[in-house]
Amino acid sequence: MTDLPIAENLPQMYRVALRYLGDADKAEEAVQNACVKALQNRDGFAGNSSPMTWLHRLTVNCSIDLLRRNGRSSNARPMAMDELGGVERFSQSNPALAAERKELGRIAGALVAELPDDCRTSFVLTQLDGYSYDEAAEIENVARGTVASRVFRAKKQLASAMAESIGEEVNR
Amino acid sequence: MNPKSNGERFSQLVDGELSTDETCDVLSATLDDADAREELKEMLNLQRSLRAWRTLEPRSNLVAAAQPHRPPRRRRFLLACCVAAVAGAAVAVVGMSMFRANRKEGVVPDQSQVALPATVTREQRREIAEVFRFHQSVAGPLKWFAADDETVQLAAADSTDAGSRPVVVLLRFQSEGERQDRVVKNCVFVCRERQPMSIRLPSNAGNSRFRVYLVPHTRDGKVHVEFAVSLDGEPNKGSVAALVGRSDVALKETPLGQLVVDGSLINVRANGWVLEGGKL
Repeated sequence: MTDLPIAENLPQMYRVALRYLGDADKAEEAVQNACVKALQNRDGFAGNSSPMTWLHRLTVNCSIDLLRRNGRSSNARPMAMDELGGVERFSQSNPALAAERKELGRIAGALVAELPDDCRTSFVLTQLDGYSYDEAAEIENVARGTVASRVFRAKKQLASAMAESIGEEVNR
Repeated sequence: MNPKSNGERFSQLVDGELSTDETCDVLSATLDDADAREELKEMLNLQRSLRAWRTLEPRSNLVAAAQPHRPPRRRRFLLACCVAAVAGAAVAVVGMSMFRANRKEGVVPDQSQVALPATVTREQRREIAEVFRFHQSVAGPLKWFAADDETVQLAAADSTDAGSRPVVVLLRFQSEGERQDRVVKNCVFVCRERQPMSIRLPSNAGNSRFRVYLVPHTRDGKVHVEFAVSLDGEPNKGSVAALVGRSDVALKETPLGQLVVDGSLINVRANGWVLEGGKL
């Protein structure tokens, strides 16, 4: 019987589901469904990929299934990161710093969508979903060095765009 | 330090992807280099700005609940089939506002009183590109993507698909007849250049009889597609109607042919273009 590391992958699965569903409750439901499917099918897990990649695919499929069952209208758009302020958690000990980071996070989130295709997936998997470079390389089926290069290019572009964006807001 | 390798090393450093020795080397070289320190600071600031997202965790205790007992063999087989069907035919409704754009002109996807636009607009191409990129950003690289106004199907890419450009093919199925009787189905496919794609079209009734086979080719930015659209007959009796051929397709609609389905004539038309990264 395959021993699946479900518990240690729960945070990544949750973040993947949250990006699809944009709602914390629905994301938890999708992850719960993915866990049940993983356990039901653990004997069928052939080991062609790592358990982490397999769990990632299950989470994606359960999230999409939930979108369909909840009757999401065809006019729905993918949730933008800056719309997810309600699920953020910040330390309350320094409200000013927390507010600054929240704003920076909002700006960064809005700019992620503008990254080039090849960079965006690597960036999102490692910087937002929390996968390691090796795990992201397996999900994307590319070399680890390719992921490292793409992440770096994405960060440079994002940092430059954020500096411009913040400068524009200051000058308003 | 080499400026290019500097930045990439800093990126890996803040991501915790360097070994202890490599981390020591990078930090030692940075301490005496003002430009390098500024670059590292930029990376650290970006890392911090995304920390809230990266550290999101479920609020409740998710339990990987095991089944109390293993169901009988036949139920396990049926359950496995159901799970495989769901996993293989994932559906969603995300951003198909190309149909909404049509709707603004008085056209609806399945009951049309007004002729559908014959040329794909820039806005429609942009929205399809956005939807495809979104799915890839979550699901990883895709071999193909298929959607109509209500459902989405995906297939994960493998190593043979690496480097193949994504090509968009729109198929429009429209029955002949009086305007108020016309049935229209619009399907969007994003598949890889020279990679065959074969799927069963989604159906609200869950028992779709239509299957589509596509292989797109490109030359000088233009799309040429090999296609087959078939209609299944009774079980074990093969197809009762099929449309097979090759055609150049472009932003302006191209007629591919006609199918006879249950006594009605269905016109099949297509648009096609290369989905460049960030370009239309």
